[in-house]
Amino acid sequence: MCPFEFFRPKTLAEALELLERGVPLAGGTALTPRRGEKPAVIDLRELGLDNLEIQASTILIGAGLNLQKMVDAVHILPVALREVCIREAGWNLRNMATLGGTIMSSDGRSPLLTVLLALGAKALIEPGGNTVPLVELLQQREGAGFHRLITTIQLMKPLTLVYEQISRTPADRPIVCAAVAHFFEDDAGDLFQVALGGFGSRPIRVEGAESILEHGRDIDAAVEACRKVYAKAGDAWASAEYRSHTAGVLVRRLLTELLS
Amino acid sequence: MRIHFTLNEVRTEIEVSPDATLLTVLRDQLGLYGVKHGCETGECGACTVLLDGVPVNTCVMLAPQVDGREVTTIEALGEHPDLGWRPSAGLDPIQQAFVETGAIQCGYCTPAMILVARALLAREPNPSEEQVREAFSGVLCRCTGYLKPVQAVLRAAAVLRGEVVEPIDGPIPAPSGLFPAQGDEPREEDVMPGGLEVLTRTSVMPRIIVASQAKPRRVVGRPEVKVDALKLAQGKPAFTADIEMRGMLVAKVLHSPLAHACIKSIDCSKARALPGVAAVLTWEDIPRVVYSTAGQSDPIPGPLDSFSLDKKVRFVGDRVAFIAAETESIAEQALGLIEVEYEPLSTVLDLERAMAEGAPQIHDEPEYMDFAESDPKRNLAAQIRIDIGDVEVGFAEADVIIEGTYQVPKVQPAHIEPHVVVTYWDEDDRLVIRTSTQVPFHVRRQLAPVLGLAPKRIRVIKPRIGGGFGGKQEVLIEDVAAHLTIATSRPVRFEYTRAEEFFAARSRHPMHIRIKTGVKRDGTITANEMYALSDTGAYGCHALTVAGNTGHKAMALYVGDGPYREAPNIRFYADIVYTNTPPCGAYRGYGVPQGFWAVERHMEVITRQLGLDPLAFRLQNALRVGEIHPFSAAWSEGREPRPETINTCGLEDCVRQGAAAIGWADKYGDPEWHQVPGVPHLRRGIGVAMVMQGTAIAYLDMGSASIKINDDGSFNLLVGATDLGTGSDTVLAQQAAEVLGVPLEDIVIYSSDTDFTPFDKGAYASSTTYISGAAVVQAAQEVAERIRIRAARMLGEEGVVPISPEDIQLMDRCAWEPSGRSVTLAEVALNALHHEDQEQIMGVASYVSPVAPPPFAAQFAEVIVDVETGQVRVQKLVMAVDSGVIVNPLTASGQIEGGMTQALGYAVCEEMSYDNSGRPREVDFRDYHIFAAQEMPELQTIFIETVEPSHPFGVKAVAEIPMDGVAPAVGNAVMDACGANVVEAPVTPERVWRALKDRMDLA
Repeated sequence: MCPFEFFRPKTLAEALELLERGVPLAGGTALTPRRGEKPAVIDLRELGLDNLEIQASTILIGAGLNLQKMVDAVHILPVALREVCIREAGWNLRNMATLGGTIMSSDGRSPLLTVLLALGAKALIEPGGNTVPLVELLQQREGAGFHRLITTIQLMKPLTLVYEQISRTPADRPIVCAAVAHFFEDDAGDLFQVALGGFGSRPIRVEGAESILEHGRDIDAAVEACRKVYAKAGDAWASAEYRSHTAGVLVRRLLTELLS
Repeated sequence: MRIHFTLNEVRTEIEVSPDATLLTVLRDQLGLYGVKHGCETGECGACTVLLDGVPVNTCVMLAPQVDGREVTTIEALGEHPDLGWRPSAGLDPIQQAFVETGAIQCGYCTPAMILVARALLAREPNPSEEQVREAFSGVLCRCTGYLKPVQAVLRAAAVLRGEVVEPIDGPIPAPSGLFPAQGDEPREEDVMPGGLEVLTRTSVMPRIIVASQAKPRRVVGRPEVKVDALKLAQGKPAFTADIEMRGMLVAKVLHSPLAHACIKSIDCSKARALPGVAAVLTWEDIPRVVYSTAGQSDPIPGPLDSFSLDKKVRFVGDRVAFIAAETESIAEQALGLIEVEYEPLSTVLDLERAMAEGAPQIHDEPEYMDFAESDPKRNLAAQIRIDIGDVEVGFAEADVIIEGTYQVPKVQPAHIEPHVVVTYWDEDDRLVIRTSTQVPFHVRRQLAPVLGLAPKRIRVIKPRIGGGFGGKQEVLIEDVAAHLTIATSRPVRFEYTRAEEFFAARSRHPMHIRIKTGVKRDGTITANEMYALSDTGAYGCHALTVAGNTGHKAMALYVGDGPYREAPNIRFYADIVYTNTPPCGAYRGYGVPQGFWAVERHMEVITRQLGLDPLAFRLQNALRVGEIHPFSAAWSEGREPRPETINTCGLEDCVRQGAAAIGWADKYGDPEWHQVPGVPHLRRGIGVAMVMQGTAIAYLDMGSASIKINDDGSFNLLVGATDLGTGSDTVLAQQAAEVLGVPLEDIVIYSSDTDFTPFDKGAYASSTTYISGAAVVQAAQEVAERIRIRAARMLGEEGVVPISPEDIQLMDRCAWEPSGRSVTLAEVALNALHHEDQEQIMGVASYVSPVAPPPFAAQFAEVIVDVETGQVRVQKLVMAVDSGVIVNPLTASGQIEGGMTQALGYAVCEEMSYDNSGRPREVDFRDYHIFAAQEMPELQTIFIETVEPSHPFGVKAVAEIPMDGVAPAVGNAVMDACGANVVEAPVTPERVWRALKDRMDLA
């Protein structure tokens, strides 16, 4: 008798009821190899979570939208966002992997997560209908018993979004990557959001750099802030010295491009 | 649970386990073997199907996920064009294009690529090259380098659009002068419509300088379709695992979590009690027989230091227990129920520390059998000391002595088909081992004592192989399944996971290499010395011979000039040490890529230090025609060495043509070209490496063949040679067809089965086309002789004048006498088999060569380096190769393209590393990155033919040499771009950055 169960709820309510018994199954690309650790999976396919909606200042993307559909959303999604979806996986996996699944399973070497952080992504979580910043969600997901469901990702619409990475080959995972989003906010001035990736269990936002940029666009100081946050980012793939240096180089290039 | 879906346009309803992957259901329940297993994490794409028209990976999809949806597998596409009385729809145009263009090598990923192409062309009938490459981004191919598959899709797209495509079987270009540089400004006629960036030409034929002394041939030299292409394009069940057997068990191995430990106790009672478990075996259950897993000729040139199971484990991943169970999930569950108590031992993970005083002894078993200089007390698996001439005298005569230290990493062959074996007792109680191996005859000989069976009680069948690259020149997992079949009397299937491939298969030996070279100011090398410290890991398989090859090939190329050319001064010493890491073994190039990384990086340092021209300096000192291979008289894999003369060497032409093709003269030394306009942090660089390999092992490697005629004048060709996807069956059949005067389609080749095919040592040492090919030619000549005698008699009976068999020519399926009369080979066959003095016309021959003629090559690379971050992007690789006469330009160029691509990984990204406990960093294709289609640089292949006199058609090897030069050429190009002298491969961004930093610090 197989102890493993497979559910395919037809409504969100049904799915939420099942969350205590198993884990959400989106594309399955990350979960299937680890299915032996789970008692049950809840296939989200019929919940209709694959919407894509553009609003005045935000973009709403259903957590069940697969990455290839994001790539195909020409003229809708920012070019850099579509490009990092291509970097995230090959065509086959992009046809399977969803935005929500990628958020829940990717590590610090994810170009997409890095860009989502720069875009100030927020996740609409059920049950409860709470909106949780991606920064917080990435911390929460690592805790045990995350019996909740992401239904929608909300992104701030950027004026400009730029991304760059350093890797061993063009399609390899980044050793260091950086994304900067520039938002036209309001009378208070421009807003910049900076994220670094390529290291650890998740990419990070560099709020120190953002604050510097908001208060005077001092590129040197912003670069230094980025270098500092990766000052101890050493692992088997690269030394902290290299990551710190390279993070500074990439952020300088992105800011120069963005501010020019 | 029950699921309903449309499978290949047929409504299907089946019961599936909720945790079953779609891959398992399609293969094991529905028998759709065109869907392949390559990994468990969706990275390789071998398991591709179309789901609602788009490609997805079935290894990461649960079967219930396809409920209500439409699944298409390769089995839905096309069929053989000749199905007897039933009209055939023929192949799908995409399959046809893959067959024609040589896009299929091992064919393991071919179904996936064809399905992807189908999905792409449904979306975009006129794709650009960039779109095709991006479509392939989810399917890894380790054989082709992607160039021909891309060409196949572009060709299929044109056909589907109704356009006329250029015939592939066109004339071979043979210009009198230099080939023009290509790629920078592509000719209009060369470019497919819509192509972007790397421009794929419609002509799939490589550039060839045909040897002027080569005789015109009818089959040899032509771009014939591979003999196995049709079945591979259709995804037929041709591979080891594509077999269904009643009652077949699934095997799993419990691997050690520790790098070095004694097993104090194992309690298997819970695992054995688990319903569905058929057997659990530990070291206490099977005979203790020491052997070597290296698939080599007798006697094995290395220590015997392995057991099927032992009471000691020597690396993380070493074997602890075997399990056979009714299903994979039961077997996995049982693994977790085995309780092992280990006594941890101190470890040695660093090769530099392996022989240090106080280092733990890895092999202390009394059964250990030394070979040559092995000394397990010092963790020394093998030692080599070769002195040619007197290097000390050479150094004393030098104007400058330049020394350098270089490092190369451990890397994985990463064939997409994992190691896989099926074993069973046949009706005669003989043990059948159906296995994906490069060495079926060695498997039989080497496993017999391990299993307690005489070799005659074992039959080894080698089906198609989904890539091997040396990784399957190892008797690696056959014993696991065989022991379990003996224990249970049931068929057993054992297949490695991708993770097991990384932690429990074989890989390339990492080495630390020191070189010292004496040079005169005019560029003459007076002495060259290399010391290689090689890490064989926990077992000494291939330890001696791989390192021996490092010196034998890489240190043989530059002998010096003038008097030094007559009497070179060369020293090659090597120590090959044990460490508590996964064992190394054979991998394409077999020690030579390691050597040439060091030699060619070192040559570059010398040219720059002395201000020499890199091309002229190398050619000045390189081995030439008529000279003795310097190592041939000094060393031969532990056997008696015998001097060999270099009969053919096209290296100088390789350099001329390769340099012209990459535009060397316009780029090297031109400061303006090195700049990237508008991007100050980028620099261009160009680099070269010259290399040589070997063709087989003289006086040792033996191949054989038997040929018989059939009633219709066709022939069965049986060879023990092992086509692991390289196309060797095709080129062997071409050689037979040439001798017998028939088209290739009249040769039905089969390889290999130890019961039916004659002995062949197997696919390694770049030997098959040359050694097995010579055996095929001799067997065909025997058959041809019998045909001539009979045809002369048949034609003589019709005429007045007796006809001599020597005057009969075989051509166009007929035997011709000089006046133009002929009988068909079918008539000859009927006469021989049924009518008169009946006999089976057949021939058997074997061949051992007294020489191992080296192929030579010039490898060029062009790169762009980001000098602020060290990131390197390889833009172009050009390889000009002297591989003797090219039997099949498509398969040969496929070897070069695929080899360059693997070597590109060695150059920039592939390496295996371990933490302080010996646990691997890389266990999947996410961390162990191999090149994908969408990130490839431009590849160009040029063949410079020479006619090697020791082979009937003049061939030399082509398979391994493309592994040798890419990494140093890239390293040299990086140095050219920015001055960074990266001594450790691969050339990662951080290594380049550090080299630049060191340079600046020095300045």
